Amino acid sequence: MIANYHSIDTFSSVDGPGIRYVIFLQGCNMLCKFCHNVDVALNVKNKQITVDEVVNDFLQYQSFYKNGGITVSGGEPLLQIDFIIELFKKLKQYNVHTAIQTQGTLFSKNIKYYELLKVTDLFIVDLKGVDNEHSLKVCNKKIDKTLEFLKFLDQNNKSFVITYVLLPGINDTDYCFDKLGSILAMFNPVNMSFKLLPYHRLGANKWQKLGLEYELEHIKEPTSTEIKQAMQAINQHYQYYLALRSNQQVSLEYSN
Amino acid sequence: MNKAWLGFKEGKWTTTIDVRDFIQLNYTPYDGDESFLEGISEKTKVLFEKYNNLVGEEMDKGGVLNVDTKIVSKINSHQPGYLDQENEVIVGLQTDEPLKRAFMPFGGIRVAKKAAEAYGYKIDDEIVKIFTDYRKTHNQGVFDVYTSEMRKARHSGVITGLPDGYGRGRIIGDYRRVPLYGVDRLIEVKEQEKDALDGTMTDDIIRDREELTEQIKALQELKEMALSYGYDISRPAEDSKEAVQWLYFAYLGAIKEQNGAAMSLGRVSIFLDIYFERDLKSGKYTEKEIQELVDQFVLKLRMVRFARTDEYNELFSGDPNWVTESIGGVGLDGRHLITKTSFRMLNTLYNLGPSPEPNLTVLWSDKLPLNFKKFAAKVSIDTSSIQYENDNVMRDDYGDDYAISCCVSPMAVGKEMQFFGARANLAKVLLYAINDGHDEVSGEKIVDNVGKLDGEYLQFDEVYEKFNFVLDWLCRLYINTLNVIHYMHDKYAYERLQMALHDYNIRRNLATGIAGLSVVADSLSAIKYAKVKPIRNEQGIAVDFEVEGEFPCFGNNDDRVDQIARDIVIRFKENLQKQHTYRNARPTLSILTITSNVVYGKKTGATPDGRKKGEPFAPGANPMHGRDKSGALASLMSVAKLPFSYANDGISNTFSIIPSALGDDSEEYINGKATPSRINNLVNILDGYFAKNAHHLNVNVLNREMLIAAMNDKNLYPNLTIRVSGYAVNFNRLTRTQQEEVINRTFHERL
Repeated sequence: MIANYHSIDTFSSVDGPGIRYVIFLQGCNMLCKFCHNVDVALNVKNKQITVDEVVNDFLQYQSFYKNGGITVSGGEPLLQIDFIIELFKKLKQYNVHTAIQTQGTLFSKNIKYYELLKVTDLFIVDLKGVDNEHSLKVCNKKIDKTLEFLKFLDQNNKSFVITYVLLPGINDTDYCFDKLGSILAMFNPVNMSFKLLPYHRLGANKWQKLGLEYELEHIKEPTSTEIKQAMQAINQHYQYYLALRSNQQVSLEYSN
Repeated sequence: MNKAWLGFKEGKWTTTIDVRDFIQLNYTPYDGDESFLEGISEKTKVLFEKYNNLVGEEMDKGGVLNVDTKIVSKINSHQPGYLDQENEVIVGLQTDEPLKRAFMPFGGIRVAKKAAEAYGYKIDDEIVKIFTDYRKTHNQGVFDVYTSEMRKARHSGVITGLPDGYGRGRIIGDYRRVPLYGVDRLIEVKEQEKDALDGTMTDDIIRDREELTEQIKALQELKEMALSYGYDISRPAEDSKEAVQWLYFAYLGAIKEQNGAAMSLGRVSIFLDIYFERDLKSGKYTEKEIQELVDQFVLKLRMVRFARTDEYNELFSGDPNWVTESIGGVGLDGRHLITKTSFRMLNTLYNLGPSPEPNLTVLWSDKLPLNFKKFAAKVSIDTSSIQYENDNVMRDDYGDDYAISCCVSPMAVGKEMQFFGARANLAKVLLYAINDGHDEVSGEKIVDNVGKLDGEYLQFDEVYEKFNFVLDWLCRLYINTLNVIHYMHDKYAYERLQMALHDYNIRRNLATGIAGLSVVADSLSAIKYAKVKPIRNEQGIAVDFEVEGEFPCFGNNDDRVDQIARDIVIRFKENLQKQHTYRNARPTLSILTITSNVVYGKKTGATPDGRKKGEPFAPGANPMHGRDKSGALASLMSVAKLPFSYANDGISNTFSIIPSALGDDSEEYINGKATPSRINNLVNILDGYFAKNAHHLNVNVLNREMLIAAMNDKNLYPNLTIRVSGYAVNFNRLTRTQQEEVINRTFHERL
């Protein structure tokens, strides 16, 4: 099995627990305006690598990955789901912790996703907006599929991290935080954790290099106070909905 | 039994001088965590404030507070000096005033004079006359003997930083012998050693008898110096405070007389811990008092100063003295060597803030207790002031009582010394191969019979053959030059006190070094895997190179180029072993630049890897800036492939990472797990790196933005400490070029 990939980073400690080997698969089914890896997202033929090549390369560094493992990222890595399944199956023979970074929009309840569940320890799922309207504005796709995917993970008691990119002036309103809190509260807290990703501009020049227009020129990076405040607000809403859910024994189904 | 030793377990050490045996029989391994540690004491707080004010004044005066221009510094040449006598628990200064730099002309009068003049001081005429007309110096001796080839190589910079005009340093006296045995006993042993040397008076015996006599005199002077502070160190130290004070006097005697480039301390924490444990048990001292002793001792070590020339400062910036203290490791019997004082020593970085000195060095092993590993990682993350060296690769050759000298040089304490030999510029060696032995900057012919290269493009086999030819030439010349230097250093600037704190029979090492390894590996890789066209000037010298195509670079865990680097190291070392060495010293090799990678780069023309003329080399064994593109671990793996058995004077690697790339902060999460991920990740990096038989790692956990801010305003972070190849510096004391180089250096960051 061969993957079309962009690059490999032998050291990451922010893409799952511990120190991790990250392979960035080439290509994406979306193009978010804030994408910081737009060169990875482009649907072009890049470099090829086989499952065995990745496994052998990974194993060289295994002494470093004691509490870590491997993360497959992108682009949208689940465009190449067959490769990931085979790769993770192999790595599971060596007891490697496996993680995937995805936006989950490709999800459909089929046999492949069940297979994927079996060999993946952690899903890091980026939520592109708090509702379809927001998501369409920035990423040109709805979030319905992502939510379905998250529910699927939750029902199957998989660990997952929901990430949300904080874009000042775009998705940092109280409405957004409230909505976000209600979404987070839908899931079993044992399975779900949440991480806020402050928007940063470090990927902007990649757009220019590729001759693409970067539409978020006017957006500022959030300050550390803004990040803290946002985090507090989200958490407050989250705790409110969580309490509501356990008190009323009702499931707060998401509706748009 | 001597009453000073009550409570200690007797052994070999009671009848012969054997500090290791004393440690092994008496130390208490500690597996617990840091919760027992105490903060700074009231007395130390007062002292520390005074010290900080003086350092502020020193910085305001351009880096030097005061220079002694009248007294030739010897062990007992100065009146006692104090920082604040009332609050000093541990006493003793190099001169009669804190931070005043002593005058040490034995290495070379011209250099000593120039060092004073660099800061606007003028050395007393009479003294200059004495050391010019009547007393020959080391520097004079060396230049009397240098051949024209040696002068040329030195001038062109293919060999640089040679200790031919300054103290060679890198010798560690076993300062622990003074508290354990008292000076009288040490003198007695040296007298016996001298008496045993009779019979035929060969050159060697005559020299040894003279050296032993000098050693005995130095020990006597050491007693006098201590007495001037009110302490009788002729007898052994009887408690914790005396042990620290006696030990410090021994070290102080050494730094009063020698301004060696590196004046390292040894492995003293574990030794002192035995006294501390005994006194804590009997209730004579409290933990607070013990930490006070350690803090005040360390504060004294931070006050060590030497007068250096501008040229020296350019090479080794930031006023370093390499007061290296080695902590940890594992004993030959398998017990780890972590004690509570390993923690107390690192704790000084909290009580007294981050600092480059003493150069705290953790001897890492997978067998160290996890609590200590985590504490060290935490201190690294908070202060960037620690370096790590792999005990597992050193223990076989150096035993379990070695210490690191300077940055990365291991030596069995009291049983081994080294003749420091700075380093050779490998990039120039390659350029001499390409330019028929001409220096690429001056155009001067340096090496004969290299031969010209034909053709438009460089051919790997041809270049490599000539590179090896020049390398052979260099090794021969380099060792010969060092032979001259160390013959003269022994003769005119002998380290009599430090050598008095050694056994009579010692192993001598002749320590060479190389700079620019990654430049040369990448250059040869470019020639081999891409097409490299030299641009030659009218004289035929390649002044620039055009590279067509891609080539693998060192630092990506790619064997095609990593093997080239490895081969060069092996060839260099094997070549050294063929040479005749002064006093039958064992040649060793380090891959280390300290901050001199900037100066080496400045003096070196463009290289085939695409590096432009004058651009800095990477420090130590580091990959070149920005060329390690496969992540931090691939970079570490390339360096780990360099064989320590061939470069056993040390392989330095500096690892800089931004805090957020070292791990998530659990505060950023909802339902996040509260694990201290940065600490655990750093422990895993160190365990992983050293499991690959790597030798050394400097760890910096810093923000690039913080460094830029510090560069633009030196008042912003007055204590900002960073690790550079093998030592730590206060960032504010670096030159602007060096600050820029540090900032440009690969920071491992992930978005």
